[in-house]
Amino acid sequence: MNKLHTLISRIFPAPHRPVRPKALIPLAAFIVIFTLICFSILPTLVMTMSRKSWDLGLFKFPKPTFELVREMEFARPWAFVLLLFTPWLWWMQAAGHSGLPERRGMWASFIRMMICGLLILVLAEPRAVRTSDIVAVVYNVDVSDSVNEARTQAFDLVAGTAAQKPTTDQAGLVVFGRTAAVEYPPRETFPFEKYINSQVSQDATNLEQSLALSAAMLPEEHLGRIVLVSDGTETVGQLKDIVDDLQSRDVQVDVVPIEYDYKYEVLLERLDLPRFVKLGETYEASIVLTSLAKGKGTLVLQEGENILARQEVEFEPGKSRYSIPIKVDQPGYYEYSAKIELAPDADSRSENNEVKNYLYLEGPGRILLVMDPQSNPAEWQAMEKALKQGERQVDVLSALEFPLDPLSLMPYDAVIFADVAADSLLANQMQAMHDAIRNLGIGFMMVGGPNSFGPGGWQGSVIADALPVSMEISNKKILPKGALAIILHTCEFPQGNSWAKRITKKAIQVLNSEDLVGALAQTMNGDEWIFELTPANKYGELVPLINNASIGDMGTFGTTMEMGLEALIKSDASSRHMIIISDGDAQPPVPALVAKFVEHQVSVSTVAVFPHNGDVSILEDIAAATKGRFYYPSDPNQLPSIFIKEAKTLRRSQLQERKFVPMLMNVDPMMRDISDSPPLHGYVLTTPKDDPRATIILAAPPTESEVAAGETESDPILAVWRYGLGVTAAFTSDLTNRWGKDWIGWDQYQQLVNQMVTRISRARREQYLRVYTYVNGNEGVVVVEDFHPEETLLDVNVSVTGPNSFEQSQQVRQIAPRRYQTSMPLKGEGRYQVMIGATDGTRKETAYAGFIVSYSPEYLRFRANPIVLRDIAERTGGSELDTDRSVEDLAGQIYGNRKPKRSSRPIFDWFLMGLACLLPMDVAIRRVQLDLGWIKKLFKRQKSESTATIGALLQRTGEVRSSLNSQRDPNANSPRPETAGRPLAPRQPAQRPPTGTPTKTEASPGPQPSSSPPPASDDGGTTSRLLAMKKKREQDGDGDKK
Amino acid sequence: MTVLAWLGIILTCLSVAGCGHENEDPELPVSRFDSWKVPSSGRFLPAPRGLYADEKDNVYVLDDAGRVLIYNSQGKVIQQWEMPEFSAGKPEGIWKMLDGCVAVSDTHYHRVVIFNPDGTVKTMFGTEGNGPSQFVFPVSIAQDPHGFLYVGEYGDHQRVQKFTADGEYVLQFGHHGTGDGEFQRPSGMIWHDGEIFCVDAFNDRIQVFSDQGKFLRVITLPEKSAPLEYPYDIRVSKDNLLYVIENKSARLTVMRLDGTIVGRYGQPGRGMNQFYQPWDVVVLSDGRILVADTGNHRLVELTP
Repeated sequence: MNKLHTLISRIFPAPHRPVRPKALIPLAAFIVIFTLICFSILPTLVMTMSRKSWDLGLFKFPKPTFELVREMEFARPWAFVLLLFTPWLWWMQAAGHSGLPERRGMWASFIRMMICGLLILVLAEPRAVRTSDIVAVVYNVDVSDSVNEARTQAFDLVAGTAAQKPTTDQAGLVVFGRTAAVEYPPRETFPFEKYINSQVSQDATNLEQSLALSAAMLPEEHLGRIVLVSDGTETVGQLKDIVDDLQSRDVQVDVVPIEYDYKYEVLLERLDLPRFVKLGETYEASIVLTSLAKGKGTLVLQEGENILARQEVEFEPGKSRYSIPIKVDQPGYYEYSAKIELAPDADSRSENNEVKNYLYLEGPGRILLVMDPQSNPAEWQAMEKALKQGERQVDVLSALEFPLDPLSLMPYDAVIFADVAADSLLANQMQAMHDAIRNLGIGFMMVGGPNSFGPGGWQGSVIADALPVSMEISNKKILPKGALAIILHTCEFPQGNSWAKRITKKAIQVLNSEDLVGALAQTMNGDEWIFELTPANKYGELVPLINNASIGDMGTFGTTMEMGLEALIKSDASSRHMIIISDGDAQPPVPALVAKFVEHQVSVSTVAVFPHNGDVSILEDIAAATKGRFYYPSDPNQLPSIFIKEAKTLRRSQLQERKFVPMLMNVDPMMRDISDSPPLHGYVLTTPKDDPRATIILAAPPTESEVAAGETESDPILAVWRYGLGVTAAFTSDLTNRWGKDWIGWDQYQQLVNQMVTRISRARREQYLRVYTYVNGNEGVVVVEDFHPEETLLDVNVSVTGPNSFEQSQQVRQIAPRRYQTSMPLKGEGRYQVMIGATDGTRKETAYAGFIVSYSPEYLRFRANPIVLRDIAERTGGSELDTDRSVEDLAGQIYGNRKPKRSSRPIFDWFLMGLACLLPMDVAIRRVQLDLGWIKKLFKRQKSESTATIGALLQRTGEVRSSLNSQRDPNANSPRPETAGRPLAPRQPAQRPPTGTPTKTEASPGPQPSSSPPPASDDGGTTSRLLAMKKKREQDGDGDKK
Repeated sequence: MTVLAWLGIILTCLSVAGCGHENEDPELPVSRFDSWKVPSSGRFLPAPRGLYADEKDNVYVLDDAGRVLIYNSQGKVIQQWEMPEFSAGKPEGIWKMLDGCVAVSDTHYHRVVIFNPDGTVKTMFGTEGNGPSQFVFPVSIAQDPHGFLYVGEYGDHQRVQKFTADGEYVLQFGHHGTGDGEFQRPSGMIWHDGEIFCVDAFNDRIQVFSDQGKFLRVITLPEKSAPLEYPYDIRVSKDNLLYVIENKSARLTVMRLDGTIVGRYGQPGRGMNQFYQPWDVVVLSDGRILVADTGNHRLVELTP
């Protein structure tokens, strides 16, 4: 008991002064305020930043808006146990242990208890509770291939019910196939346009990802619902996990099953071709047909565009197989397609009526020489002749005829692009070339000219990645800088704005890194820069800005054109250009503005995309007046090449037309037995890639002026490296009469050309591996057979690349002697390249093959799966919506049945801010004494009084100074200058109680004369003086009380 | 005393931090923000563009599905019809004429279509071109109490043409430019007391002409007021207040005839109390205001 008493007396020591009832005021005030806050009786202000701002000249601050929180809850209520400390805090002050005068002590006590209370509140993690009656609905619409036609009905339902939603409710839209994308986030407004801008892969159905995304879009504070419109045929993902999650989040899923159950459906499942063929022999192509009902049709087999067979067939329900003889007369790559033609009512889907496969018969390697469609083939005859003289079979193609898939390039050992511009090839043609180099080992060489490399718009392309030189020009080369402003008007066609963004990015990629590029559009804030003129090398920073831009329907071209022109004029670029992409119905610019463009030589090219009524006159006029070009593409696929063409006009400066003799930089088989070469007359500026694999073989020496300027770096003329499985080369001059006129007649011209081609060509060795591939549903199967004279166990690996960025590598297991097999899921329709690598430690072999997936696996489905959807609805508390009911009824079902939702959000940060404000106050009250007498004196207007006050102050200052001096050193006569101005209160020092005196202090006998001797320890220093003053105030405080 | 002083210092600091130059225009009091339902059109939700309110508070709405919708004063669609053609583009201006017919400036077909009250086409006038009675993108239409029609266009010629109710050409005024009497998209106008108040959208101003086409003045806003930003249409109320909808700043501005601001409402956005590229405004007899919140595809009703 004694110990407890001792403990209590230690925690709550005896008071230094009597504790009077008045001392309870801070404690009572604290208890009242704290209780009111905790029980939400005192509304707490929570601040959020609004869109409006305060303009303080140089700075702008977001204007806060305040919100009253009327209900609070605490995540960690145990923290309130800490309130037990507050009586101790109060006691220490009330009992005089803080050493402050009584009144200040009360304030200090109150502030400190408030700090303690706020700290406890923060630890308790307060949350503002809201109750919302708003329903947030996310429509989750399946746009996969399997619901093809039903998509329109799905969007009808979305538009119809969203139109009926209450004003304050929110609606959003997520579309999904293999992937899911947010078309509109849930908001009070639902600006549902005619076209879906989101791009999702439609070759699969991923209910899991779509539901997860929809649920993530639902605001926590509102009652969330998902309306799932789908056929329920999940092909990717795990539905169970997300349904559990939705259940736990209390998100209700209403479902609208898209039902189909085909009675008549015919599809071609496979086209089987012989595994291995010999020239001139006849084989059979087998076609597997599946039908739900008995029927008849016409089966057509084609090789490329040539019809090989056309025959009437009759079939029973189930699978039928038909064989058609085929014969191959020449080595090469042959693509066959089989097609079934049916009466319209005999089939439900036509997408699965055609199936493709290929046959590859290896023969002597060929060279493919690709020309620009605009170029004159006669210019390249010398090169073609040189290749043919080297006993190589050469095929010459225009870029327009270039294959769209890499498998078609398999018969070629090397491909040469002879001054081909990037805009003459489609993106998938470039990708095919790239994949053929990397995955099939086909050699590649780009030969220069005005349409090649940078000036040809190749920068940023996949082909540029494959070349040993970069089109990015080093800073040492002083090139005129270009500036390009792009104006994006809303594009009213499917995925129009996505196209606009894509081509903007493409245009930036083509520019040189020092070139400036900016984009303008009408956004939420009116006509403004998506990003101002910025060096193109900041592409990475610009991409998110482009992706996030919301491009609106611009009313006038004038505003954005003027903004763009001003920026272009201000830029330090020597070449300035503007591109406008529009549907042509915006307000034309005023003539004065057009004249300004002409005056500053800024050309404007215009691109009309789906113009209203074909009216393009405004766009034509702008282009004509400013000496730009006008484009009217019929297909949005042409847009990227237009932008490349436009952007590359800024890069003509990379053409270097001068006479020089190339220097041999490195020894390479390309230059074997080649002696001094004649001069060349020009080349395209490039930079060697900073990669040790890139070898510069020939280079152009620096000009005299460059040498004089200290630039000794030479420019690449011929470079080579290995890229993936292939070898690529860059010849930046040309091999025609333009720059290579002295080379054409050179006696070693043919030798050099052939050595160049030999160096890059795919190496051919005797092959013992035979690869057979086929597609089974959504799976690709690879079979490898080993015909080597000696049977050994091979370590076989397969790498498959294909559409939708598909890349997969895996081991091929042995399933029988000399036979290896594996399979893998593919990623939708398209052509896949297969590369087989096999080794037994000593022998190494590589073989190539491919898959063709003729149509999306979604088309293999004959009926919907509404049971899955009903299960989702049942488990999440939702319901199945009956689409036969009116849209008003459906909207009532979706947006009705509302129950208020409670939600909370943390608000402890605002209590932290309160703490931050109180802490300096606490310190100030305890430590800082302000002399506020001057405020009173300000209001005393009479001059005489003022003078008297100053005089009194001066007198008082003198007294204090002499007093301090006498304390510091009784013998010193002169005052200390540094203390002269200190505003000390004229108080009398109190006697210090002797050490060891009882805790209960005795009343002070009264004011003591100022000449009282200082304490013994006082050495006259600042610390001592402060200590003395503190004690004096303590005494004063006690004295006051009494 | 010290405590109070410290409190004073902190409060002063806080208040100084909060003192900024804010837009001094008064906010228009709005007690209720609601929307009228725009029926869907197939697989999309059309956006209202042109508005007109008649003396019975029936509201005529043009939307970007090429429809004319007539609402009663309670926001219920009581009649609707489609434009004769709209694949090339949708019309933008609508006016109920004195004889009960409905005139529409058929923007992308470069003509004016007059509908009978039952929605059948009564007549059409105008062809594409720059001569009298020809149009390039007619965007706005209005009628004065004497029956004359005024049609504003923004194509080759930025002008307003005046016609009789039968479509006979009377006169024209304005052309493309930024000077007095010149236009950059006269996208809305209203006759008031013998004067035509014409919004000059991309010159950010309202110009006043006599109904004989003589330029009179530009309405000047007070210096402290934020300037107009793309005023797209204008209406005048019974109490002689101008209601101007600003497309760029997504704002409704109510001003007196001399330009002094009575109040402003709205800001760009897609939520409540916000607009996105609004195109038109009308005032009903009971003071309610309807805004064609075009970018948000909704018809907003504001109750003062």
